[in-house]
Amino acid sequence: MWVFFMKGYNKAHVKFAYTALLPIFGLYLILRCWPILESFRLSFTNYSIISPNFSFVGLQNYLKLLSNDQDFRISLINTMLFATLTTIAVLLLAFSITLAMDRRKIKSIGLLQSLFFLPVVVSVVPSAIIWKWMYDPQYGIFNYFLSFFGIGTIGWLVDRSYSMYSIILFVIWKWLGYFMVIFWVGLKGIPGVYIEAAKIDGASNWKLTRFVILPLLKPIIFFSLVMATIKGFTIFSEVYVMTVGSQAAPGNMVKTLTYDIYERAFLYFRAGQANAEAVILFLIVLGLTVIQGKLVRKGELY
Amino acid sequence: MAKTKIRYNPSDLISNILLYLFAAAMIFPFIWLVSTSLKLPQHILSWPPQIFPKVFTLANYQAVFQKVDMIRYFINTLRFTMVSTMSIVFTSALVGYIFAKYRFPFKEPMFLIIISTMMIPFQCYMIPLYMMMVKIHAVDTYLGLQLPYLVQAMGTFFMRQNFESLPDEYLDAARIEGASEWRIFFNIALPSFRSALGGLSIFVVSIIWGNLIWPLIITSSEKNFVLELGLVNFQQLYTVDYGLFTAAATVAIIPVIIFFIVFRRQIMEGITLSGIK
Repeated sequence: MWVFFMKGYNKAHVKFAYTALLPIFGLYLILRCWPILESFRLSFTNYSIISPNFSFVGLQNYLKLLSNDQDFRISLINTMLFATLTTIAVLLLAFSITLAMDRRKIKSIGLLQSLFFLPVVVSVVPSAIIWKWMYDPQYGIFNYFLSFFGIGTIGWLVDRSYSMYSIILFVIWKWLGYFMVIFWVGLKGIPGVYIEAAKIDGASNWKLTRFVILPLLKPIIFFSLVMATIKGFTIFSEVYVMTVGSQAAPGNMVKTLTYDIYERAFLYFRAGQANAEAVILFLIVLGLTVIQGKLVRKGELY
Repeated sequence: MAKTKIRYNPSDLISNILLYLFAAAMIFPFIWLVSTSLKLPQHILSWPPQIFPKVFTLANYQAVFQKVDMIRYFINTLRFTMVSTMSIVFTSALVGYIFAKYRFPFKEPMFLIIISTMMIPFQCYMIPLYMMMVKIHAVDTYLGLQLPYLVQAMGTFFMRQNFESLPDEYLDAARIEGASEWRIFFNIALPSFRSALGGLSIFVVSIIWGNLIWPLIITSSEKNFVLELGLVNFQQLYTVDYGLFTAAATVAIIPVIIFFIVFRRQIMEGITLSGIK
């Protein structure tokens, strides 16, 4: 049997490959594969992290979530709203700023890019502390800026009708530099001859962007689109920290899917339901990844 | 839409001004943070707000270090980040190298299994992972915090892409000289990909340093808190003291900003690694 497998392989190479690979592969099995499969299995049970006994309940968790679960509905709607708005805003901003940097003569581009990138580098909690302070309804600097325009005070985070949008604004600020660098790399990857040729043909800046740069950037744009959407759908930290402490967003209003999974499993001890929700989230992300694969492949053909 | 003929110099000037104004707005929150942390309590809540403190004080910083063990959080974060980075970079390089340069039975299925874990967000399997930690009594310990971040499929994938460009002739030449396979990996393969390894390290540092969800779930006692969790907890304890929060946040971001200033290029390339490859 072994001889059959070994046919055509270099014995010494196989021995090295297995000695080095198997322990690490074992780690992947234990730390990734097992929990992933377990998460599917437990989504069909009434498991709770505080008690060791559980039984299989079939599709009950899924049915409950999809039929009459207020928290799940709010979380799903919030997550979709959040992912869509953030993605559109971040990508449009990142694209136009990067394009402006590329098309115009800009002084010390490196410095400028670093300034935009700074919020990406600083981790979420300290950033959120700053923003919560700026969003403070009484003493926050945002309301002070608004007062220049004669606009009254806004309860940025605490007001239920604004809280989600305030978090989105914070996340746009946080993610913008990241996508700018991706677009920048994409733009630099366009061979200069294409742009020169278009210029010689007398293309205006608008036409150059629309008919030369945009089509050539298609793969990068599609990639960023799905990347931002997936980041948006799995958002946790940014939303969670905005709900902590006083003058914070009301947790039940800005709940997103991962936030709800966390709450269900670790605060309400309904791990079975939380796992079902995690599987639904996974299916959404998988769907987005598949779409990405298709679009990128299409995009590469220009 | 843009029918107007663009005259170059004025529009370059306007673009510069607009872009730098925008950039100033992007970093304003940090300036405001540091400024607030240096103010006396009565000046923090003054109206209209003062952009720069009238009187500078370090009282907020003193209070932070008295009230919470920032040093401890910092050391915990540093340990978590360094061990994760070393482990993920090493395992990714080794596994990536083997998948790129060796032929062995079950190679494709094993690679597929590893890569498929990359598609699944951590949030989707963190609950069973937590239960695993309960079973091995690793809840609220450093071990429990560390275990999930020993491997990372994204790194393996990235390193395999890189190692594929390593010519087989180099490896064969070393084999003829009598070098062992391990030696070839350490002395030839690894040194040829220093910049890829550096990029990967920075990428890993960026995802581990700011990690909140796993520390939040797995640790509960203050001695095990990482910086992010410590700050969240701090906010819950002292709900309205902005002087304290901003001082604590400043302490937390200063090392990061210094690191960024020193390794600007590498960091910008490293963090967006997943996007470029």
